[in-house]
Amino acid sequence: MAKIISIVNQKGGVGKTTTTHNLGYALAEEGERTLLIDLDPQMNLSTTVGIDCYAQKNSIYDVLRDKKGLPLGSVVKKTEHDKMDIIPSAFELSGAEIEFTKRISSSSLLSRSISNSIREDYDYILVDCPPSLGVLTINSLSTSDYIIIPMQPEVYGLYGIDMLLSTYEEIQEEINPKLEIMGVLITMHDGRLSLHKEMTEKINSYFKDNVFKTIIKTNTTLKEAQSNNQTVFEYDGRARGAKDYEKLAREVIEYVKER
Amino acid sequence: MSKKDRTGKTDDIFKNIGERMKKNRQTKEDPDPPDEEIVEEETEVTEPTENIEENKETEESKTSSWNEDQSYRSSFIVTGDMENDFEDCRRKFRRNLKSNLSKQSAIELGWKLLSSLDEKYFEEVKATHSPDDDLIQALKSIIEEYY
Repeated sequence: MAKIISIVNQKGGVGKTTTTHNLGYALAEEGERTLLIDLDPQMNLSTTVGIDCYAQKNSIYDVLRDKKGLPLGSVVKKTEHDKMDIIPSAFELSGAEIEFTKRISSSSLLSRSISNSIREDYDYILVDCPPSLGVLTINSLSTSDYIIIPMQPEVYGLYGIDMLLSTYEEIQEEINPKLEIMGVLITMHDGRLSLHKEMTEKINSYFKDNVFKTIIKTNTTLKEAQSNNQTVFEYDGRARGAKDYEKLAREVIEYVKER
Repeated sequence: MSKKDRTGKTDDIFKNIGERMKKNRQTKEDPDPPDEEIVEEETEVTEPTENIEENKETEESKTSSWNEDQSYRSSFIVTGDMENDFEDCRRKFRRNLKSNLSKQSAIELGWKLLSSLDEKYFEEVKATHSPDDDLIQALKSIIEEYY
């Protein structure tokens, strides 16, 4: 059965999409069947994978809306990697906050649509959450087994985690008791900056085993790969970014095995 | 020359987040409270009764789905150390409540919820659904239809 992992942080630009894409590819390279779900109405993950979200006949929006009775499996798309699939985002999701919150079951739309057969088809399902703590993120957290919190080693990132934890605690209490923080992932770490070094020391010292050992260092190759609609592995497998995400994938697999 | 304070006054935030994460990890590793004294506690979801003697599930209780005053009891156990940490206690209680809600209790809570939402809808629902039907399915379809 697939383990569902939300990549979440309500702060934008911390590397959620980059992490979802590259971690997904790295897991697939390790032989794990992986499904990416793009819940961010900005559609960056879907676009990077090479999907034209506007051309979709049916989308995840239709599935969540539950008007056509579509199963989630019907909106799964193949990617270049045979072990990695994606459910693309849809521009209609940008109105989801208003539309879905009116429904009594608004927090369980995604969990209801993830059938056992989808769970059996994959080993990992990674959900790229939007940069907000709205109904889409809550849906993702309500469905997930684990969350990964990408965080830049800067002070604003810290405030974001404080707020995110409150949402996490509420969802764990009210909706999804099995939800667990897999770890905080330090991203865009620049070893030349004293601030990043000191923040990283503090993060490790205070968060202890709630932080991934892997640190995603700042690497222009990651951005160049995105510009070319590729993962860093496809663009330049020797890059530092590729090594970091490969290490992260192994850490994730190890973590899940130990549970 | 004094060293620059690059991370500012972040120690309290770090400490707060670190402690909450630690608590989460500990709760995951030890999800069940130890068996000691039994105490009852109230929740926002249900209104536990004080009448502990009503332990037997009689025919009357099974057919009283329409009775809005029916309340629920929990076998949740509160230990001494949990009393010192209300938040932790509350979290464990809710988890316990969720895992122990019987099908019948869930349905009755559902009916209660519907009845408190809108009287007009509830009348319509009462006319078309019987609590003796396949209740889970009925409730699900009602909620989907109306909300």
